[in-house]
Formats: sequence, structure tokens, C-alpha cells
Amino acid sequence: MKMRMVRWENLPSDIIETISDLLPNGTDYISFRSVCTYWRAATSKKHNIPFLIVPSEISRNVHNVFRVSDQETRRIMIRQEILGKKCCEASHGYLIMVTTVNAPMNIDHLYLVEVDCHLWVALRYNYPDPENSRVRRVHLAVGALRYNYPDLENSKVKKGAFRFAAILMLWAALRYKYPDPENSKVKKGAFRFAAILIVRPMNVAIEEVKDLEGRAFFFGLNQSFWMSTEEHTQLKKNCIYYTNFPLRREDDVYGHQDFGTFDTATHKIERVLGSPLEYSFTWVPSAWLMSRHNI
Amino acid sequence: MVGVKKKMVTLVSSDGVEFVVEKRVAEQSLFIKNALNEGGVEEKVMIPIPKVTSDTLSSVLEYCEKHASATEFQENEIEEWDKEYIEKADLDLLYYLLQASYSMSIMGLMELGAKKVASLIRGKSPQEIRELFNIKNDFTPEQEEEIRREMQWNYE
Repeated sequence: MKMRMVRWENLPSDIIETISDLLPNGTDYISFRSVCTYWRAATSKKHNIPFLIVPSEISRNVHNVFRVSDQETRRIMIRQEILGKKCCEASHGYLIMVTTVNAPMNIDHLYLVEVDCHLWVALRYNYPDPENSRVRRVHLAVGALRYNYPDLENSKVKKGAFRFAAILMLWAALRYKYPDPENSKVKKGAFRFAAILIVRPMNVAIEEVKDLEGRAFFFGLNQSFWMSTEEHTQLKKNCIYYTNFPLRREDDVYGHQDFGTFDTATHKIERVLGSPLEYSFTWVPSAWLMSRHNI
Repeated sequence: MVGVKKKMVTLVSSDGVEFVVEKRVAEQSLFIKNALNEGGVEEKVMIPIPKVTSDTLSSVLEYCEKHASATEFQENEIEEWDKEYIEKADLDLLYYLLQASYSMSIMGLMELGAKKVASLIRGKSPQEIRELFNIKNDFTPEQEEEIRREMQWNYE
């Protein structure tokens, strides 16, 4: 009689690791390490690749998201009570929803929707910075709260002023809304790589990041962050994955939304294949939504 | 072939079956190569291969044979051969081949087997994977909850 010796869960951990390395798709990788405790222990936890919120009208309690990992559009369910409201931001597993489109945005109209379950809000500065003309509407703040309204607890913090919370870092890059006065070749709406800045919370000093060191950098409405391309081989090295607030062009009533990659080494812009963002303006802007598990 | 005496070694499977193979074939396994180096270059060496049964060993040696003479073939020819070789292995044999490639240190075979497993896993849910490989779900409720959250992000 032959004894049954086949016990797949007991494969040597080196083999389990080799198999997991062959599953670059995030879903397969997560399925693989969710099979049993042996396999889970032999594989390391990976960060999730962020979703891109696809601008669309919400007709039901469903929101479309685009996954860079397999270039597919997926749907996420949204709780019933926010039906009819629209997403204006996304952050760490949260969608920030607002009630109306045309009324001036008021903090009372903001709703947080838990997609995951952790809160980290960053409000975007929506107006040109009076102190720094280079900072336009599209300039983003991450990991720092940039208040849209005066801080009730601190009268010195004005509307739109930066308030650095003791959080990790700030990255920023610009996508120009207007033709670049210094460089006529850069047209309105074209991506001009300005700089990636990092803010150290301890001294609030801003440093320029000269080299992404192979990482992929996500730049978006609500937040910007980088991810390891070694961990996620399907992400492009030294590339900025960008999305923007809808920009209005001349003779263009509706404006335009955009999504693609910008290679910091070659300065080439590429649209990501299969990306669904060739939409005309809808108020719901595209934004990166990252899982709270990434924190 | 006159005058060229091929160096042979004898491998003994865990169930006691002897396989006489050319040294260059056996040396596809780093485990055997090291064993031969340690033991000097004596002829008529007997090398026991623990934990590898005769059925598995014969299949492993088929792989080694092909790859020992890999230089005689085009690269894509070898690739094709590998594909067919691993395709005809059933799940149990695949498991034994992986274990054997690991204990005998045959990197190419291990990667080939891992690729096959990865291809079987792609597109499947954890439960489907468990059913395919006959694996028990041994997570605690807490771990299940953590997994559920991770899944939530990646499925739907």
C-alpha cells in the first residue's frame, strides 16, 4: 500500500516563495497567501496597488475604479445613504463625498464614506496660493492638512494655509494649468515636471527629491505616495502615475480629465493601456484610492 | 564512441531502486555534484537519494538527461520540451518533482514546477486553490477577518 505523502501545504518555504514571485497580479498573490497558514507565513505581505477612482455619475450605489495592476475597471459598492452624492476625494480607504455639484462647497456637505476603515483626510487647496503664484489649483498636499477653511481651534491658521500635521511626508508635482511663461514649448495642460518635494515633519523643511530610486510615484488629487517597483513588478520604475483635477481648456466647455504615466528619466508621457479616463469633464474627479492596509 | 568511456554513477532511490546514469546527467543536481566532489572522483559510486521514490527519480532523471545535453538543442527546443514534460505530470507527480528538485538542488526543475503551480493558481479564489491541492483551511477567525479585509480591496 502506498502511503499518501502529498501535502501541498508542506512545500519548502523557498518553493512557496518562488511560486508567489510568479504571481505579480495582486489578486492572485493575495489569494495565494490566503490558502493556509504555512503559505501565508512563507510569503510577505505586499502593499496593495491603489485604485484610480473613475470619474462617473453615480446612479446606483456603485462606483467604478480602475486597477493599474491588471488594467481592469472594477466596481466598488457604496453604502446606501450616500446615494446621489458625489466623490470629490479619496484617501486611504475613504471616499470623501459631497452633496451638491454647483453649490459652493461647504464643510457641512462633506461626507466620509468608509471603503476600508481608516481615516486620513487631506483637503486640497482649491485656489491659487496668494503667497506663491507658482502654486496653482492643481497643486496638491499630502500627509499634511491644507485647510480649506479657517481652523476653529487656531485662528492663526487661515483658510488655505498649510498646516503641517505630524505625518509622514509631502510630495508634490505640478501639472500646469496655463502655458508656462518660462518655457513656451510647454503648453497649457501639458505635464511639466517641476519637482517632487518631500517634507520632513520634524523640521518642516522642504527638500527636493532628485531621484525616485526606481520607485513608482503616484500623484493625484488627494494624496501622493510612492511604491516599490520591486514589490510590484508591473509598475514602471521612476515613473509618475498621475491623475488630475479636471482642467478646462480654451474653447472647451467641459474640461478634460487625464491619467497616465510620466517617466522622470526620459520625460515621456504615456497613457496607461486600457485606462478608462478619456472622459469629458464630469465633476467627480479621478483620484487615487489606497487601502488603509498600506499605512 | 570507441575509447570514450563514459563516467557513470549509481543513484539509489528511497525505495531501493538503482539508477545507473552518466555522471554529467547526475551532476544536473547540485546535491549530487557536491556529493561526488566530496567523495573524490571514484568510479562506481553509489549515491542514495533520500525521500525520492523510484517513480519520481526516473522522471527527474529524464529532465536531467535532456538538460545535460541542452547545448545540442536550440533554446526554444528545450523550452518546448520543458513545457511538454511538465504538462504531462499530474498533480501528485508535480508535487514530488518539486520536493525532489528542492532536496536534490535542481534549480531549473524547481522553477519549471513552480511556474506550473503558479499557472494553476492564477484566477482562482483561495477556496478553489484549497480544493485543487487538497489543503485544509487552518486559519483562526481573527486571521480570516484580516484576510477578508485584504480580499475586499482586491476583489468585487
